[in-house]
Amino acid sequence: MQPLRPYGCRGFSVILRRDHIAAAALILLGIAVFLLGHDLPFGTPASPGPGMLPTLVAGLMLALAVALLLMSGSSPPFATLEWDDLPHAVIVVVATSAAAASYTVLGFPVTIGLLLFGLIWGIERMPIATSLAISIGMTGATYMLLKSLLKQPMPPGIFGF
Amino acid sequence: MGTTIDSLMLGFSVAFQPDVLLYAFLGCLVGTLVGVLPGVGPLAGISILLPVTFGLDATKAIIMLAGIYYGSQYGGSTTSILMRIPGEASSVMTCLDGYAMARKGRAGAALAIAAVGSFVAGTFGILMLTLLAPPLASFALRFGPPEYTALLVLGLVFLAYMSSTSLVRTLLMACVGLLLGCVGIDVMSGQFRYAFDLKELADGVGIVPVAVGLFGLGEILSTPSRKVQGEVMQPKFSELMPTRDEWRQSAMPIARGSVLGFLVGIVPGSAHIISSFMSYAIERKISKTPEEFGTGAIAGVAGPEAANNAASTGAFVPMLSLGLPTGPITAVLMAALMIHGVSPGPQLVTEHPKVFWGFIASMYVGNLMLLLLNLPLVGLFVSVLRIRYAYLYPIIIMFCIIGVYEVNHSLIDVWIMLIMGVVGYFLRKFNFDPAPLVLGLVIAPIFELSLRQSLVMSGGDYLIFAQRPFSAILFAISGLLLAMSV
Repeated sequence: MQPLRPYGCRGFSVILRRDHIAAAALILLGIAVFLLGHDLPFGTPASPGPGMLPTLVAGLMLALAVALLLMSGSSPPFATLEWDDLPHAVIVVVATSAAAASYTVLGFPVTIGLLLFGLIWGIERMPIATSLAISIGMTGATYMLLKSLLKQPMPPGIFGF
Repeated sequence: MGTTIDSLMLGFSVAFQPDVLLYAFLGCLVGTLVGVLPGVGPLAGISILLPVTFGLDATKAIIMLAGIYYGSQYGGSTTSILMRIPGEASSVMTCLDGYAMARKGRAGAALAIAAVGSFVAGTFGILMLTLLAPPLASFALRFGPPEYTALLVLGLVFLAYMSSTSLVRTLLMACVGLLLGCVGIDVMSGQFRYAFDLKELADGVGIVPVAVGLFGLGEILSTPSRKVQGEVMQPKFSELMPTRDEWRQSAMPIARGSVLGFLVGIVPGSAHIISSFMSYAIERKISKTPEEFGTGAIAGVAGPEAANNAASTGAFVPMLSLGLPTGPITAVLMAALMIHGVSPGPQLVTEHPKVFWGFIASMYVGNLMLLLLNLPLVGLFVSVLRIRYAYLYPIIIMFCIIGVYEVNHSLIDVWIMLIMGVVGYFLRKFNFDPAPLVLGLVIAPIFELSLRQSLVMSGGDYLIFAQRPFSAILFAISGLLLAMSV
C-alpha cells in the first residue's frame, strides 16, 4: 500500500489510519458545537449559564480527540477497513428514510406494508407469495395490536386509516 | 422485627385475595407485553391503564400499576436478547452479550438467566424494601446536588475504568452522549440549545430513538443477509435452559448486581439507570475471561439484568417512605395513589397499613408470577430466531420505526433513530463502543442540573464538592480510578 506523500516532502510519508479519520470527525464535531453554541452565555461560577456544560464538554472532547490523533499509530490503516456491507446499509437507510417520510402521509398500514414487501421481495428476492403473506400479515397484526389492544393513536394518512 | 413480620402477614392477607391476585397478574402481563414492545415503555402502559383503575380501590390500583412497572423490566430483556433492540436505557447492556448469546444458539439460556436473575434481584430488593425502607430513605435524603454530581462523575469514570476499549475512546463517546443530552430547553434558563428551531427537540433527544438506532438499526446496517448463516435452529427443550456451568457462572453476578442495583436505585432521580452499566463494567473487570464480554458472556446478561430489577425495586423506597418520586414512573404511581385518596409519605404506613403492606406483599407475589410467566415462554420467544434473517430484519426495522414513533408520536424521533443507526454503523467500523454514548445521554440532564445547582449553592465555589463528605469520597474514588486507568 502506498502511503500518502505530501507534495515536496521526500522520505516523509503518512499512512492514513482509522483513528486519523475518527479523530478528525470528532474535532470537527467539537468545533461545530462551539460555533453553534457561540451565543449561549457561559455565565459565572456563581451563576452558570446554559453554555457552560456544552463548552466544557466540547473542550474536553477536543482534547481527547487530539490525544486519539497522537495515539493513532497503533490503529489499522484506513484502507484495510472492509466496506462490503455498505451497499446493504445504503439500501436499508434509503428504505427506512422513505418509510419515515411517508409514515404520516400514506398512513401506517400502507407505509409499513410497502416497506416490508419492498425489502423482503424487492431487495432480498424472497418468493413473492411468502413476501406478500408476511407483509400483509405482520402489518395487520401489528396494527390491530397497537390500535385495538393498546389504544395507541396511529397516523391515518391520505387513505383515512 | 416482630412488628415487621406481623405487618407483612397483614400484607399477604391482602395480596392473596383472589381479586387482588387477578389485578397483580394483569399488571404483570401488560408489563411484560409493553417491555417486549420496543418504544412502548412502562410509562405509556401505566398512563394508558390509569383511567381503568378509577373504579378500583387504592390497593388494587397501585398493585396493578406497579406490576406493569416491574413487569416491563422482565419484558425489556426479551427484545434486547433476541433482536438487539433495547426497549429502554436499562435494557441496553443486555443487548451486548444477550444478543451475542442468541447468535450462538444460546438465546434460551440468556432469556432464562435474565428471568431468574430478575426474580432473585427483585426478591432481594423487596426484602430490603421491607426491612430497610425508612432508614435507607433517610440516608437518600442526604443526597444533594453535590452528591449527585459526584455520583454521576463516578459512574462515568467507573465505566471508563472497566471498559475493554481504551480510556480515551470511552470518554470520547461519553462526551458525545453528554453533548447530545444538552440539546433542547435548558431547564434553568429556558433557553433553546442546539435545537435548530425544531420544537420537537424542546424536550431534548430521546433515549429510546438513540438506543434503538445505535443498537438495533446499527446492527442491521452492519449485517447483510448473506453474512448470516441460514441454519435453522431447532433446539431441544433441555438446550433452551442454561447448563449447570452457566448457572454457576451467573450466581455471583446476580448477587452483586442485586446489591449494586438496590443501592443505586434508592437514590432519588433517574441515576438508577446507571446500575446496569456499572454492573456490566464490574463483571467485565473482575472476570477471569474478560475477552468473552461482548461475544456472549453469561455474566454480561446476569449482572445487568439483576441490577436493573433491583434498582427498579429500590426506586420504591423514597416513594413509599417519603413521598418522593424517583422519576416519571413513580410520579405517576404516586398520582394514582393520590387520586384514590391516599397520600404517599411517612404517614402511609400508619394511616393506610393495608395499602403499604399489601403493596409490598404483592411485589413478592408479582415477582413470582413474572418468573412463572416468562420461563415457559422462553421456547416461544426463541422460536423467533428460526425465522430466516431475510424475513426477520425487515420486521425488526418495522418494530424500530413503530416503537420509536409511539414514544412521542413524533417523526423527528424516527429521523433521529435513523441518524443514530448510521452513527452506530460507523462507530462499529471505527471500533468505538456505543454504550458510553447512551450513558452520557441519560445522565446529561441530571448531571448538568446538579452541577449548576451545586455552584449556585456555593456561590461559585468549586470547593463545595470537597467540603461535603460523601461528595468528597465519591470524587476521591473517581480520581483514584482515573489515575489507575492512565
